[in-house]
Amino acid sequence: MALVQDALRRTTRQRRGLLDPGRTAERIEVVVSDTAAFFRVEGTLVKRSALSVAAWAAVNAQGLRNTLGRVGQLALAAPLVGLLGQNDRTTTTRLTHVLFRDFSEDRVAVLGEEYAETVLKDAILDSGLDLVREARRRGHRIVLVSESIRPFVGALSTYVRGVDALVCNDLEMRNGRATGRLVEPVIGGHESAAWMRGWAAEQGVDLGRSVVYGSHGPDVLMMTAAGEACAVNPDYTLRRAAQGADWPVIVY
Amino acid sequence: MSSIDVRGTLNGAHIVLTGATGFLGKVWLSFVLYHVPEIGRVTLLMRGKKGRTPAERLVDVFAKSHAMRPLYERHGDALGAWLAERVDVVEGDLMRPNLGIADEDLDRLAGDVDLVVNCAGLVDFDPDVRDALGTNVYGPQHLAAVARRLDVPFIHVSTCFAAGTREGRIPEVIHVDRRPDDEPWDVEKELARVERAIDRRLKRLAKPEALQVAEDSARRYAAIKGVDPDDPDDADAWAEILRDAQRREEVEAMRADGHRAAERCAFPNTYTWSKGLGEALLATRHDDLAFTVVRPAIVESALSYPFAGWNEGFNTCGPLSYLVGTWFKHMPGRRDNPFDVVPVDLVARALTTVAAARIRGTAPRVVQVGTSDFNLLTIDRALELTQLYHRRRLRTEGRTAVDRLLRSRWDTTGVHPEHAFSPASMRGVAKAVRGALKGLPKGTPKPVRIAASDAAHRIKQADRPLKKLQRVVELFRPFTHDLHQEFVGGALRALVPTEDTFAYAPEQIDWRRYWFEVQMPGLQKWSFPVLRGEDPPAFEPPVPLNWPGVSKEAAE
Repeated sequence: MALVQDALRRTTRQRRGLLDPGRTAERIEVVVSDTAAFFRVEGTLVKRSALSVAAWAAVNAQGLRNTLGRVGQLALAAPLVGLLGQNDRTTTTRLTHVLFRDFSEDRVAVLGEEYAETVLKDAILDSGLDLVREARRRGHRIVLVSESIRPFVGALSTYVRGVDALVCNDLEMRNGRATGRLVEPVIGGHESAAWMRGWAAEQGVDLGRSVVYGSHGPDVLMMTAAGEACAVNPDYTLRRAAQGADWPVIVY
Repeated sequence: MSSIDVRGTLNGAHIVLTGATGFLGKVWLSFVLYHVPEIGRVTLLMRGKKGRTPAERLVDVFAKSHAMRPLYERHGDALGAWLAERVDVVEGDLMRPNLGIADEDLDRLAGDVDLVVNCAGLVDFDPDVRDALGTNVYGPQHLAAVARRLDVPFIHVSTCFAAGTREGRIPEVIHVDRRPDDEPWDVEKELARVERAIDRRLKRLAKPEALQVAEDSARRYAAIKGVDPDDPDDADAWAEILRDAQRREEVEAMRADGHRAAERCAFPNTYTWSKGLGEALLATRHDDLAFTVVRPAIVESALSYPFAGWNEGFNTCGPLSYLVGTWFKHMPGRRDNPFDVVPVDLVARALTTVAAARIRGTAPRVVQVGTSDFNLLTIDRALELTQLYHRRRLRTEGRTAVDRLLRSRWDTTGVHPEHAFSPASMRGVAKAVRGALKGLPKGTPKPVRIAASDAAHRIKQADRPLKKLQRVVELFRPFTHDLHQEFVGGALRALVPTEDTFAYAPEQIDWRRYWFEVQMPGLQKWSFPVLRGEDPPAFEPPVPLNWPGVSKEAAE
């Protein structure tokens, strides 16, 4: 808690400095906070999973035959994703996005925009927004971590106020079409923790004074890498881990 | 590769231009006047048309076209006076030797003109063969002869599709003795053959049996219109109907003859055949003349000049894009076939650079102005972009729930032309069903027979739009499905203008952005109303065009 108060004091000092009328513009130094709050998007901020994003895209594939084929694939993939999702999120994220194979870049862009407007906007959880506000108030930089792909969740940085960074997956494209693979590293699984450490080192963020809001089993690695952790709407695996690690659990 | 000072070269130059009433002609005229205000003079060659004199048509070009908007914005009230110093009109007819210009008028032009540019062209894919020959074959020859007499260079605007059915990478050369299928071709003999065929056709059409066919058709139409051919009171109306029927028969026969000639010479349609023939004749007859053939690909909405999205009338993409927004969902299209679209202002830039190079004597014989060599757009991508644009539009602006929920999501896909849902197949099925409904066994109860007859009638009525659809789809099929053509664009790359205003950079086009923000909104505003038989928004000049002498003459 002391760490949080430190961050809060520092941010307040920065704000005062910026607002001091005696300072000239040249002398103003914008000091970026060196702590961050990492939010796993699916579960903490948005009630939709990456699988439901892919399912929405599958039913909007080009042509009826194409759509039916993808819906069939989805029906086969869904139980696997359900079974493996709590432990091996990397595999399930990869599996989920195979549904985008052969989608054109144009279609992904247009569907992403449509999804953001018609589905994502309404799927944002108010309690999740409260957590973001609280983290911002505590002086953290807000980092959203999503296992979905950029065109579909990129708009979150507009819909959620004060987002400093949004990290998510990108489809691999070849000749303007999706190959069905994701660009490495795949966000959402265990690699997320490695990504988080790399990002924090690059940005000068002190993970020891940062907080992670996770909601899935594989988020445990990220949560253990941060000074503070909180399980939000956790799945079975994360709930067990949270009990063991004595992390707070929030359900809404 | 050398740099060309375009403005410097065109400073004080006098250009004779034909085709200034067409889409490209107007945009180029406006572009040159705007970006090269130091130009000496532009003389427009025009003929009177539909009761309008050349002077009236000249005023129309400037007072009724959106392409001139930037000129009004720059010059305001003074535009008329400014134009009077730079633009004039000469009455001339492309179809006639020396363009029908009197010798003394031609002599007066000699020594003063620097360049002749032919932007005139008949772009109808399936025209009366006589019209195609007049504009696309005889016209360039007559203009080249005039350029020779004036001793000035000549630019002829043709089309990349003059390549006919030749496939693969299309080089920037004129094939004077080879058809697109690589068979020997004597273009002079070909022209003579077509001219003889036209004469024979006209003689056949004048025979009693052909006149009888036209009369029978006229009688059927007169019956619908309530005109009695034998009633002296209806004599005038009947004479008009008969004349129209004879004219229709003649045009249909000439269309068919054009199509046959094109097919024989391995061209997909009369338009490309006449353009190919025009080019080849030019190279055969005027090889020693300093001329350049500029071949644009499919000329579409402007990127920025006169303003983003400007398009005009009935063009290549318009009907296809319109169809994609309807319930017709199976467009002939082969995956990865290039669809070479080029914005009209990029063509204007290229044409201006070529004009400067031609005056300086550094222009090559052929310049292709396309995008497929630099920034490939495929037909399947163009179709999908069009569909996605309609999806976005219908989702938010659809008038009914069916539009918003179903039509917006129902994708158009590129299919083989013989697909089960092609217009031809659908017509075949409809015909079979109609036959079955009409041929019910004798013992069929009367109510069933009446219902079947009613259904057969409705199917017959539905055949007309299907037939139209089939015609449109078949006209475009060579370009969307049959031919894989990539137009080499090296010649233009070798002509580097010193000013960015004239730079040709198709690789900078972001096709998605262009399609969603420029091309489709442009078609929606300017072309789709024409396809629906409506008028697109008219141009209202912000100030009256007070052109000393010409406006008054036009008004009178």
